[in-house]
Amino acid sequence: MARFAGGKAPFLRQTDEKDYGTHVIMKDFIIALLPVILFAWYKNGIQVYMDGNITFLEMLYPLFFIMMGGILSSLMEGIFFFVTDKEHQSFHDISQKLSLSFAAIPGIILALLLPLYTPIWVLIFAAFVATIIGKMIFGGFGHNIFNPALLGYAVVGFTLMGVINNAGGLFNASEVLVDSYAGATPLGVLESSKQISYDLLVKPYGTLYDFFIGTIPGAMGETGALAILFGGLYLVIKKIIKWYTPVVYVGTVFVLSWIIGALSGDSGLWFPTYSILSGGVMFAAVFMATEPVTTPTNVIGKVFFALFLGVFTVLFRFVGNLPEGVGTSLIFMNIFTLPIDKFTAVIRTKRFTKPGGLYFGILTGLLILLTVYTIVKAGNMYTIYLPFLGWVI
Amino acid sequence: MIFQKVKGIFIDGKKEMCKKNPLTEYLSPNKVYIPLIQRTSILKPEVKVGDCVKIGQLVASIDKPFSVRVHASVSGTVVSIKKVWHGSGKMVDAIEIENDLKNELAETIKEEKNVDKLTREQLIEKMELAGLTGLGGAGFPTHVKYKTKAKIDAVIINAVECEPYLTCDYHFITNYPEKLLKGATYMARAAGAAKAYVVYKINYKEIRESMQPYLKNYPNIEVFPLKNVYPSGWEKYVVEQVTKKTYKNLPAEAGVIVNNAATAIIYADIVEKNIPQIVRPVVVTGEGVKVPHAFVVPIGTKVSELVDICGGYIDGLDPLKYNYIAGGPMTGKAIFIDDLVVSDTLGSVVIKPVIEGLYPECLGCGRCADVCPTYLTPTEIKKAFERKDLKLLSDLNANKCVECGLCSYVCPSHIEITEAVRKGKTFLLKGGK
Amino acid sequence: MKKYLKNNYAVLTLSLLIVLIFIFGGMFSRYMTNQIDVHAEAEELRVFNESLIALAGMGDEVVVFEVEQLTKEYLLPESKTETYQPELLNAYKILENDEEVVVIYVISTNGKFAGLEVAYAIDIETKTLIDIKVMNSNETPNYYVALDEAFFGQLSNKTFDDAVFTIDAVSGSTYSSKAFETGMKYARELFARDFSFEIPYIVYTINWIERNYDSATFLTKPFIANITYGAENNVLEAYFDNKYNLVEVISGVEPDQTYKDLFKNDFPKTSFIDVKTFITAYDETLRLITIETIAYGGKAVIVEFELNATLDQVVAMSITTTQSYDSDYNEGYSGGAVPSVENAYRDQYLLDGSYLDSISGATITSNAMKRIFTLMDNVLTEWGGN
Repeated sequence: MARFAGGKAPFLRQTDEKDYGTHVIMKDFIIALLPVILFAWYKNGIQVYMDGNITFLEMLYPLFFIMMGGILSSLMEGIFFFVTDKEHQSFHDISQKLSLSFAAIPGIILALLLPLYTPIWVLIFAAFVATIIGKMIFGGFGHNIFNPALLGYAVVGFTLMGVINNAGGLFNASEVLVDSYAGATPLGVLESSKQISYDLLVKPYGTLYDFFIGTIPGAMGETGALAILFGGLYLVIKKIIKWYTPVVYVGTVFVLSWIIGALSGDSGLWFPTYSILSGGVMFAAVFMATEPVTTPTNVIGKVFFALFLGVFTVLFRFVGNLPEGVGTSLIFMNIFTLPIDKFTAVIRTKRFTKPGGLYFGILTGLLILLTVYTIVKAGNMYTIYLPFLGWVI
Repeated sequence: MIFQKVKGIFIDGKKEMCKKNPLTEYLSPNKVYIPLIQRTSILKPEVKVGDCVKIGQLVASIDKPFSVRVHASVSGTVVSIKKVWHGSGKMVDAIEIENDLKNELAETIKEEKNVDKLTREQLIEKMELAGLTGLGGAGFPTHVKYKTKAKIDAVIINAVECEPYLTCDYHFITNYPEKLLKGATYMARAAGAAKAYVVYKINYKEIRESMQPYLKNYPNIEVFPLKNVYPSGWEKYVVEQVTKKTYKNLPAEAGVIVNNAATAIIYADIVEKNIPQIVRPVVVTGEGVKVPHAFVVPIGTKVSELVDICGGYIDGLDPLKYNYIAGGPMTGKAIFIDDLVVSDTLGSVVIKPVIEGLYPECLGCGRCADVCPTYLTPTEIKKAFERKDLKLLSDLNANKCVECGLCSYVCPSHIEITEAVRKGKTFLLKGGK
Repeated sequence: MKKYLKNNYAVLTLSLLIVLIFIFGGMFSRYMTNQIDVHAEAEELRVFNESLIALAGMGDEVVVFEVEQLTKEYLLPESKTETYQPELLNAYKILENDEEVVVIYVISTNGKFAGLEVAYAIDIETKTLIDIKVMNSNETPNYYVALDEAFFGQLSNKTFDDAVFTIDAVSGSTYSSKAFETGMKYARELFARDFSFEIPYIVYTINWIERNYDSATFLTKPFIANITYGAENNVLEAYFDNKYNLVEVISGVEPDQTYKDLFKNDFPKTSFIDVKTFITAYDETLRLITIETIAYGGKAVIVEFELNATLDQVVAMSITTTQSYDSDYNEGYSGGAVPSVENAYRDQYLLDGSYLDSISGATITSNAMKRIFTLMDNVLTEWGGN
């Protein structure tokens, strides 16, 4: 008689197979990011170098910057592990923990969200906020409420944007050097002008095709819609993300922008197309609205999340003071991930019976209210009522 | 509703290791240990230590909540009543019978002459007297199912055996195809149903081929293939696939009764020869066994004897790095000591290596919810259980979990999510205690 | 210490790496930020060079041409005596297939204000001023506005071989015009020095002509002229009589007879002032001043004015004339007999000091009268202060 090992059913696990597991999911995320990274490098480095406008050292910088993002966040987490765990302080233990924590990914995404020419110390600060405050304080991988990279980006964006601008950030090398755009990013123009006009929003940067390819000013990774689509396609084919999350999100932004454009007197399809191709909408749709830890897990939740994200993105773009509504709306929606998870799980289980239907009704009502508000605000319809106010008084 | 359709996922069956070896009949072990437990009911022994018993003689029984009867599987002397390891993972009392190798049959075992004239009530009574239980693993007394008041349209014989590794039904059916068809016919009569279906996995062509010669004699039996997915052998999945109808609690609501294939084969013997349920097919398989085999053995046989017939464990097996699983690898239980006896609910023993690794935390990918055949949300049930939130658990239908194990199987972070849901389910069923 | 290192080597290494990234990565990013300005400058230079090539209209490469200033004084536009030194700011050569084809001098000269910076592109082979480009200017639009295409047209494709190397000033923007002319001349001087070009040396320019209002001398030397002449660009200021002969040098070197003949020849063509009208007599005691001009048919009109005691107003005049009115114009003359035109002008002038409009059919005589009155008025204005 022999003593055998214990355990709980099932004894067969897919993780026993070689190419299955969380590490594979995370590896696939990095593979999907590769086209984006390469495009960022091409646009900010290689292309400009081939045109003979920059030195070789400068050509390497975009890649260096992105790698620094990954390396820095790993180092930060390594130190965190060292400080918090007195038992396991050797290199081997720390590197093992890092491999289970996927430390490099938030850093790489963070670097892609920031513009080139962001000073390295700002990147270090952002990586600190992202990994330590955004992730480790919450309990490490799998427990974070906010998307770590996004949190780092948002904190730096709110506090140090001036520093980045002074260092030459906001623009990309190619724009600064080749065509010397005089203004801000496309969304900055929209934010400052509040006018929906093709000549103002699209013309200075070329055509919508340039927006699609990504040869417009902006952060490193966010402009190349085509590269992002490739990455997204890979993730969908590998079944890492669900196709409907990006589609619902981008679709919501598209439709709402179209309505707003139509109400402002331009119902052309260029404006919604411009809306989804400018700023971080595409990047967020593929890499952040689908990030498993900080977004809902089940189908209904994902659709809900994407829908609301789209509404808030448009809302913050038109109403808020920041030109970029994507980051703010994502952080805002991250807060609701846990409740959405809970309620949609009930809805899923109860199959839209009474309580589920109630939640659904409340949330849908809220959505419609917000949509109407967005449109009203964007069209400045309040001014119509001002005479009535005077009359009443 | 889009959510009602049961789906499944493909799992590599690993059945080849056992499928190639023929069924071995091992009918006279030296000792048998008849467990005095049937599902959750403790049985009352009908014999004393020192008594001589014959094959098929009643040795233990209970009347409530259901009538359960257990019979001696060998002839010989009752040596003792001692604790043995049972397939449920616990130690239970068992009647130890020493085989005298005379194979004396009890008086009740005789040819039934007027098989065709048996009424529905008689057929059900035979089930009860023979102590027929579901041999698929649940061990539910069969006669209870047939005493339903609902109108039964069809009987479904479940030969799917969707769990990986297991080939027990496969071997049993291919060896006794006609018995299966007969048993199915009797069951249809016992249920008052016009039709019987035999469902099998579409990749087991041999099952269909073995039955093919006899099928023309049984016009009311239809052979129905199912997809090669897990859990296609699950009762609800089978019923949905065959009848395109669904039910909430019992298959009878959809007008069908589902029985395991081995049960049907045993039932054929019960009806025709009045031999009670004393043997069953068992498969001993897994990477830890030299030559995996399927057996037909008397209930109460020690699994260690079967392992010996298989050539023993592989050389240099480190038991602490292997799981000794009673049942299939998806739903079975790990047994610590390899001193297990075959009971009516034990269809297989799988000895497979434990694969260890470092796994990260839950990343919230939602795959567990995606694969769940009952459309539960395991992660939320786990969280609700950790908070001991009884209302939320019931909102999340934690009691509907069938413990198929798929959520743990697909989890990329190797989380024991099935176990967590099982705990939540138990917690809910016990009303928060 | 050793124990501490042993316990903490991991965290120390990680921290060291962060510090290294902070230092060297920071240097790299600082370098990148600096490179923005570097590239912006390079881009600016590229655009500038392209503009130079566009100015030259040929060539493919611009190189800086290291040359020194050339000391050469020019008159200030607003002055007749003060001079200044134009400043050579930059010089460039434009190459075509590695061959020098064009030289560009950027010269700062004085217009109304100092610092009119203009690039003068000179074709080396044909020794021609190809075109100019204003790089920077402090001129206010008022002084600049009259410089039209016709003016700038004078500055394109202007050969250096002209002995008389001048351009016509535009009235209203005289100072600015002079600034361009000075720059052009200075550019030619530079070109002559740098590319062994010989400036045609029988050259002179009348910089300005003024009338001499000094009553003691204006009968014998009615004009003062400032002239630049000769290969060395000598500046001469001298009195001229009413036959345009040089009679007395005020400053500068007295030129030889060749130049004197040239002056005499070109003097009547000048547009600076009216040189066809002279004061022929002046009686101080009787306050009589006689002014003579050549009118129709080369015949003189002579007017004797009588001034008041304070010498600021005409009280009477007598006209001596031998004009005949002609019907040069289509309409012809339809007035009275000679000297009715002269008398009409006289009466009007004595009445309120204004001049009649030209009378058709007697335009030349009318103009002659106007010239006489103009000179008289100028004399009165000059003397008015005494």
